[in-house]
Amino acid sequence: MDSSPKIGVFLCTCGHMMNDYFDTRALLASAAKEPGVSSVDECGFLCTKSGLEWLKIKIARSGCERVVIAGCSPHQHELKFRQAIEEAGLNRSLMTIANLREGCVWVCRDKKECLPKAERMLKAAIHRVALAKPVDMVQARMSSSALIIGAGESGVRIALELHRLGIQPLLIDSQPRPEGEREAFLPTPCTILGNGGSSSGQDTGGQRHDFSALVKELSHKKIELLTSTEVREVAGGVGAFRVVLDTQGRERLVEVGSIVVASGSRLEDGANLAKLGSYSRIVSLGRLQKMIEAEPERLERMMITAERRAKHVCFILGGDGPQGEKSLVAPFVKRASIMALNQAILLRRRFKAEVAIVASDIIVCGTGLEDLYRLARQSGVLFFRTPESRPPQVSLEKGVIKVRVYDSALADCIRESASGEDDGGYPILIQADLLALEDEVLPSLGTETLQSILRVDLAGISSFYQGNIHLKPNLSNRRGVFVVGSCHGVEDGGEMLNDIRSVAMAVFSLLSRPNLAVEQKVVINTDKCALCLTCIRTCPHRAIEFGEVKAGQKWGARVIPQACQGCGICAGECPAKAIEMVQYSDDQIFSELTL
Amino acid sequence: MDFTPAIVAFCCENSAYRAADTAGARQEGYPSNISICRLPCSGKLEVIHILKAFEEGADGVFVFACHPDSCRFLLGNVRAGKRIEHTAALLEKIGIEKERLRFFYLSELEWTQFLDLVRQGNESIKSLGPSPIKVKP
Amino acid sequence: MIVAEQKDIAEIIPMTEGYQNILVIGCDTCVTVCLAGGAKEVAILACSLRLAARARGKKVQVDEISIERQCEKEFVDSLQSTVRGHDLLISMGCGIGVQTIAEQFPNLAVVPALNTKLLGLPERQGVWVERCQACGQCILDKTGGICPISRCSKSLLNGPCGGSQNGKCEINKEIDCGWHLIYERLKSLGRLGCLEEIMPAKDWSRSRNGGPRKVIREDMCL
Ligand code: SF4
Ligand code: SF4
Ligand code: SF4
Ligand code: SF4
Repeated sequence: MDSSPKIGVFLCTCGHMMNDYFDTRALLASAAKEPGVSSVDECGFLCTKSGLEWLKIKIARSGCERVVIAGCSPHQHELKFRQAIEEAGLNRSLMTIANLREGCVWVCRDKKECLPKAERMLKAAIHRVALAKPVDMVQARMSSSALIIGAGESGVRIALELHRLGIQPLLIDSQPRPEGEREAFLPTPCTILGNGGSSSGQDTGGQRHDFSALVKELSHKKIELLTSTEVREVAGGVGAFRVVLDTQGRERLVEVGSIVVASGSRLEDGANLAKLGSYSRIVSLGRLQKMIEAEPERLERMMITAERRAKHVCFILGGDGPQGEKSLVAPFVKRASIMALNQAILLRRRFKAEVAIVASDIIVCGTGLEDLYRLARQSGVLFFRTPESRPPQVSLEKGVIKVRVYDSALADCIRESASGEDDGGYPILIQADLLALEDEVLPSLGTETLQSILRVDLAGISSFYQGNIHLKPNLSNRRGVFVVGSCHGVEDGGEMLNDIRSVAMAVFSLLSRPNLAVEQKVVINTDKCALCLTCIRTCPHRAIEFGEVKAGQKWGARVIPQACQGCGICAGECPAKAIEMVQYSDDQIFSELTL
Repeated sequence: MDFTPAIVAFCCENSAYRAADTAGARQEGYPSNISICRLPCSGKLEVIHILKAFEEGADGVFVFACHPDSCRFLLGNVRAGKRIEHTAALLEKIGIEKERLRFFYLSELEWTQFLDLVRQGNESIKSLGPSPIKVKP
Repeated sequence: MIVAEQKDIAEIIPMTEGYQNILVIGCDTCVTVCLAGGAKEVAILACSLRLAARARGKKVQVDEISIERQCEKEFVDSLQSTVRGHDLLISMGCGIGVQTIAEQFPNLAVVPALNTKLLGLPERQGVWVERCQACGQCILDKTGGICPISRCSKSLLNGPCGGSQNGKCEINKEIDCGWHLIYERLKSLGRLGCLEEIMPAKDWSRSRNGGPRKVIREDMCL
């Protein structure tokens, strides 16, 4: 067996610590007997600079072609060692580490067990390295451009931010013109606090104004904006996505390094609103916001009912809220809280209305939010806290909206002093001229199609706050595809800005080098591939596509190395055994199983 | 009869392998008859790897995967979970008790749990006795 | 494509009773694509059989191989030397594969490891649905490209039975009514007129009812 590669075994005793547990010479002697082993050696500190130099010299002198390092866990110095053997002229994957420290000497209760276990582990590592194959490095071209889908506020802002960082942005939107509104669901609390909630009409209007300035800035910076444009197809992977865009029937192929989804969200009247019918004096928070800003006279008229002079407005949040269970999800509660507090203050100040907020939960974590809450209280807004089990009851009686409330803190004292009239267990009665209810925040129309074209799971687009912890907050399952703005969660202005900055930085650091050297961790044997599409469907990172493997040849599955994250799921699924993970081939795994 | 089972523990390098490292570093000790096989993700683990482990003489096979929704590769752990279920049913029909194959969710930080699981697992495999395929006719 | 599913291992083990040298043969085409009998499954079955024998205190030799297409005599013939020394062949091809092997190796026992199920496509990963029953006389031109033979539970030719409800079949609420689909599709194509034409009773002799069928292309015959 002269052709079998020569294996060098190097034991690091971790500063002679290992010698306390077993006879290192006995271990190396047994290793030397394994087929293929050409040299064995030991060293005190392999991970030090001199240790690594020693390793390189030993490799060169012994002429070994593969290396086993017996020492600490691969999680300690694997990269360092791989680099060293590379510097010694070997391929970086032709090395296996036997984890004798964390996996053997520190594990065995009885020192007598150490030597046999170490022998077993070292033997397995020797067998494993004998089967190792070199890993190829490929140069992936990284185009420093980004496609931004959605020209709402987050889309426009990130385009500007990326431009600033030297990434060339291309902004598209399916609508004929950019719309900032798509994301301005949450007025930034500081806008109100900042100007003391003056009734000049500018306290929330400021944002809209900003948006048109932002759009102007786009054209100043010569950032391309394609309106009435949709994504048709996405192929390729990070650094070189090939995207087919469709502008009213005209197709265009662009190549971009990264894709940022900023498709925004939309508001719908919630189920509760629908349940109460189309009574004109019951409105959603979104609708009320618009009326405060744009139709104050109409709002004024709506609040004046025939019977009573004072204007009474009641908000119901959470509990048996419009979205049922969903309304208890924190981001929704927070959104409803901010909107209701904001509107309540404005209604007090501008319209001199009596305002009551009935809620099972209010969330005011975030800059300025507690102040907002305090301000609301100071300005005379009444708060009623209802337990989730006893949501408020709404009824319409002769044109008057009656809200019956069970307030956990007040109920009992009220009951004691009450006249004895049967209140059905809901002792507080609020008569309102206007009732505001939570609405639903949903992904923009077309998000589902976009999702399937991009082949990404926009982590929680349809139900916010789901998804994998490694993807939070802005990553998608496809490397190079990011999610920003209200299409992946309810956020206020400040949160959105943070979001944008972090995504911009992520895009920048991904695309800052024109070429990226990546390991070809996974290899597909086209001759074996039956093109069953299993790997293409199951690769969580969409790093496999099908097509001509070589120009003009038969189709097959091919890996996009820079998109592949080396999980091996594809190899685990391939029914034809056509996929091999270079550092975890079946044979290598089997070789470790010899007990 | 004192019997030391041979056990293979397939560990995802993102979670259980690190937990095992920490458990080792704490020098608390766990049964030395447990051989750890490092995988890039539990989703890489195939049915054949488990069967081969038994064929090579394992008395028990433990598979560790990341907790749901925290797989670095999103669904490797879910795929592994399904595959293990399938393999357990297969083993039972082959004539190997399905209790010899155990599946656990574990995070990188749960090294104490790792210790508990391998210690308890070792005991339970011990009580099952040697694998039926090792018993000579 | 032909879609098959693996037999329960408990059904396969008894088939191997009394044999010492077994060869498991996979097929790299249809059944690989439908994840039933490719190289991966061959390895699993072979290993399972070895383990099963050992668990029963026996020792058998189980070898494995997978070939391009089991339904071609030439490919099967290439197994001549591999087959030598084996007393049982387990085919992981579809029924056609099993029979081709049986024909080419008349002196050897051949058993199937799969149940050949249908002609269809994957609806999504891991789920396959039927689309054709090889009736021998395709009528898709008249039905908007939706096959009433395979997609109508009763293979009706002239519209749905009385049991179709909300687009679902009365046999099983999970199944779409084939004729409902045909109607919707013809409607969207603006070709509902197709339905007015009465389809005559089908000549089932061109389907399975007329005995084993044969396709002959004279110009291709040598
Ligand atoms: S899973 Fe295997 S056979 Fe199927 S397409 Fe991928 S490489 Fe080809
Ligand atoms: S190793 Fe993982 S990321 Fe890479 S191609 Fe395979 S499944 Fe995709
Ligand atoms: S033997 Fe069956 S499964 Fe294999 S290629 Fe032929 S038809 Fe397809
Ligand atoms: S009509 Fe006959 S040949 Fe055509 S798809 Fe249906 S079963 Fe197949």
